Amino acid sequence: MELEKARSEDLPQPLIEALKSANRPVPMITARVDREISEMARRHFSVRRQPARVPRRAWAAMAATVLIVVFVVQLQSPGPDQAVLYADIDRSGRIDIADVLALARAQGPGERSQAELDAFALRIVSLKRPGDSS
Amino acid sequence: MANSGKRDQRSDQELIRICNHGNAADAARAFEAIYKRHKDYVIRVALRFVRDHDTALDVLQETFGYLLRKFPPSGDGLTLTAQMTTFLYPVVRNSAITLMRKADRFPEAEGGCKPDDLPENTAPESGDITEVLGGLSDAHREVILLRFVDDMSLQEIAGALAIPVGTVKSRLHLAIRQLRESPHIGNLHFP
Repeated sequence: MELEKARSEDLPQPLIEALKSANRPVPMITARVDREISEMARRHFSVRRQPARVPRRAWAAMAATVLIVVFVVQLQSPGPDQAVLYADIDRSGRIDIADVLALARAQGPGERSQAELDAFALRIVSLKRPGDSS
Repeated sequence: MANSGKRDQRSDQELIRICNHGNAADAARAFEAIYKRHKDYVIRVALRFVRDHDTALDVLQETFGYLLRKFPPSGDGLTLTAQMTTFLYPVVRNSAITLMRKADRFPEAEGGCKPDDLPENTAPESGDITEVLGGLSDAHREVILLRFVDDMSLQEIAGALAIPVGTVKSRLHLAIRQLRESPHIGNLHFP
């Protein structure tokens, strides 16, 4: 660059020195001015609010807790399909008399009382349709 | 604050990052380091415009007050894209002009403040450097001082004055030629 190159050539060095000398910093900034600016800075930054920082480990622990709670709740509450087919012993997709027979075969005669089996049979072969409230 | 003799080794960018994001104590210390580093420059530039020490000290406070307000919580933070001096120069200049106007010591100019509105140099002594510079327009004197006293690059001058680099080159070229042809340069007593 012509002007860049011309910097020292076009302006004599003594003139540059004279310019610098004339613009030398004047020792006029007192300790009082320094203190005032220091106090101004402290006041300004003291009202700064630090963002509440949650440690990364706390976030991980919180996420793990939520996952565990969701898992346990899901385990304890059977889905709607499971509720409907709870008595579908032979897994035919329907609840009918075959389920009673399957249950009777699976359970030995000594394990369930006849009364229990009768009650079960009565429930699953009820003539009521699902969703019929009467 | 500036009473500790040790010079802070951190860069201006690092100090500004702390002012933007650091905690209150660190930010205040970082700001003090910036102040300590640049206060002489600010005073030196202020004295080019105001010519009296009290007003220059007011300019110093205004300038660093302005800088402070750039940082949170009052400001959004400062991103330094150039040298700190390039950022500070127009702040000092505008603060000086505003204070001079307030003090009614500055002639009111229409359409904002131009370099030519700046106060003329005080009467120079014969053989004084101010006599040589007095022959220049304020705009030309300004680029000469920024270039040769403040050691700014052409790009930095352009940034500080918010003018194209081509204009800086042109002003500098004319100013140098004028200085070389100045009748006062022969009388100049070099220190």
